[in-house]
Amino acid sequence: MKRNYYSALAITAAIGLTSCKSEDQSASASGGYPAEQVAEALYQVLKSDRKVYAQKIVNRLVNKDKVIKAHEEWESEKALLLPAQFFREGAEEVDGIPDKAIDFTYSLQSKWPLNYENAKKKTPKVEEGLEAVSDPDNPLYGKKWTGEEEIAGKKYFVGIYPDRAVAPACWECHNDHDNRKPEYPEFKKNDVMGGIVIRIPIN
Amino acid sequence: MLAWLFKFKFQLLWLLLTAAIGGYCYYLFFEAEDKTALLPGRTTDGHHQIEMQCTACHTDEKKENVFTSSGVPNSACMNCHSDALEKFSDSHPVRKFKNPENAVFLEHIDAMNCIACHSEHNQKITGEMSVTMPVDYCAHCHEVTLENLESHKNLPYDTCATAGCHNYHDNTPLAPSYLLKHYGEGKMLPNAGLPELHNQDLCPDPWTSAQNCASCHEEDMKEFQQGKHGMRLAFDGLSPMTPAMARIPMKESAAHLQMDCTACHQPDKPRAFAAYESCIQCHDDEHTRNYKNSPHFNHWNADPNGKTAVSCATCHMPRIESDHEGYQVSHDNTANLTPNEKMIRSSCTHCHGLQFSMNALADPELIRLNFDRSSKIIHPGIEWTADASIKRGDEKTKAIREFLQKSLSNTETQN
Repeated sequence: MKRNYYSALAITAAIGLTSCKSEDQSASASGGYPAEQVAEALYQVLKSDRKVYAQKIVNRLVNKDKVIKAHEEWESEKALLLPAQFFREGAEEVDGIPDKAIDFTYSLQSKWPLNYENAKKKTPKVEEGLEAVSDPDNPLYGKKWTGEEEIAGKKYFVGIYPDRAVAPACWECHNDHDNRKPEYPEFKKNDVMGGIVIRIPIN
Repeated sequence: MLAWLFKFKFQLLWLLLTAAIGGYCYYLFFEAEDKTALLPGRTTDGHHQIEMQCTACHTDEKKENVFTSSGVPNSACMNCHSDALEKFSDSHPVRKFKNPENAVFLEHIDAMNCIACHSEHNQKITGEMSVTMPVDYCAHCHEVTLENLESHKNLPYDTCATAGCHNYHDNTPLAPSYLLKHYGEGKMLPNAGLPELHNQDLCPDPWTSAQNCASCHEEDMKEFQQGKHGMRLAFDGLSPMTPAMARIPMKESAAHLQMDCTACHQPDKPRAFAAYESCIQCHDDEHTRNYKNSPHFNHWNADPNGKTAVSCATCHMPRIESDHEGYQVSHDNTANLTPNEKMIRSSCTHCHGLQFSMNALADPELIRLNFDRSSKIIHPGIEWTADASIKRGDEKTKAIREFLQKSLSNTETQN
């Protein structure tokens, strides 16, 4: 129910922009608004929801109050979804909505993935963007990276936004995970752990 | 006259042939009860009961392609299968692949379309679970996991979905945390027994027809129509299923019986009739014939009301947690049938330990004999999961392993 709520918030933010659209008609796939602007709005909502879930739900109930666990097999374990699963479930809910007013998709990716199948989905542009927003020596570190790419004959705007470690639940789980490779960094508070990838088709 | 006939012999032959073909077609389309000759190929075992209801699959949505399997939209499949997929949280729903970044996976399998893996009328390429895709399909996307998971290295790609471990849609039966939670369990659980049913009030009305039952048992009826016994009742114009229509061995004496509620539930018959006698009166395979030689039946025979009494229905129509309150009997007789590991959670582990149950269901010979002994096969799944957990520093699992090894060593010494 909650994930639907958050997805609805994200969509409402995007649709809200459409209702007061500017004169720029060049980006019809994003409701008349420039794709980058729509992606920026979506990012603000997604980032906030992700922070609230990690800090005020998972970290509070699992680490502080210790009343419930967060588990990958959340359904059979009667546990909370891991923050990455919560985010992905919301993204898949959005993907399942037919005929959206504004077509968009989003996902999480990282230079240091724990989910190897998910990592296989990284396109060259996403690799480039993740490198930029995750590398402390890059001028775009902690900022956004934008570009365009073509997938299966269709052109997309791609926005990659930093995904930071906002609660101990984030870095403790990643630093201690079985799938963590030796070359991965030891994350600490506020580190960029990956990126939120937002795609909007462009005509 | 003869000369005239001879002169126009080819025209006459053509006319006769046309009339014969036309007559046959008329008969086939409008008169014949058996219209299977119209099918482009043998249907799968899951759909043969409704094979003459062409519009069940070939709906209006993609009418331009009705003569090919590509004319079947996902919505036609979901009309019947959506409840089940929802119930066990389908691990690969179509929406999972809609993000364009999945293109790398869709190059190998068009996971957005049900018929990419389940095409109909293709007997030659149809395998278990009506899958028409080569069975190593998991590896296209999950190869990287096979390479990185210590226990799975060097496993053949075609074993993911065929070794009784993983299932594309319902992947819950053998989840790692579940395996660990039940590590070390023996043959029988200390608290072995079926859960109590929530509502066992006797039906006050005469049991006369499916419609009559459905007036109170709407959900049971809906479930019944999702299984192979009742699926024909979900379509207007189709008669109830009969054993004569079945593709598995059935008794000739029961060929005419109609599979509606009263086929199993009859007011003048004891509970045993619905529990196993009604099954035995139709089914004629070795598994069924061996039921009365099984320890399961011995438990039933000793006390039909006992918590460990096991009938056909105990396993094939299990008691499952209701959405509302307590436990209820699932009336979808097919839900936990294939792959058979789905039966582990819903049936076996009410009484038996997990390892014992997994071993039993991995042994086809034992299934044929209706579990007249313990399995000679040892399913490695739990030990693999325990290995990984101990490696992570799980002290509890390590202690269980040490206890098991010590017990085994003591038994060997005594022998």
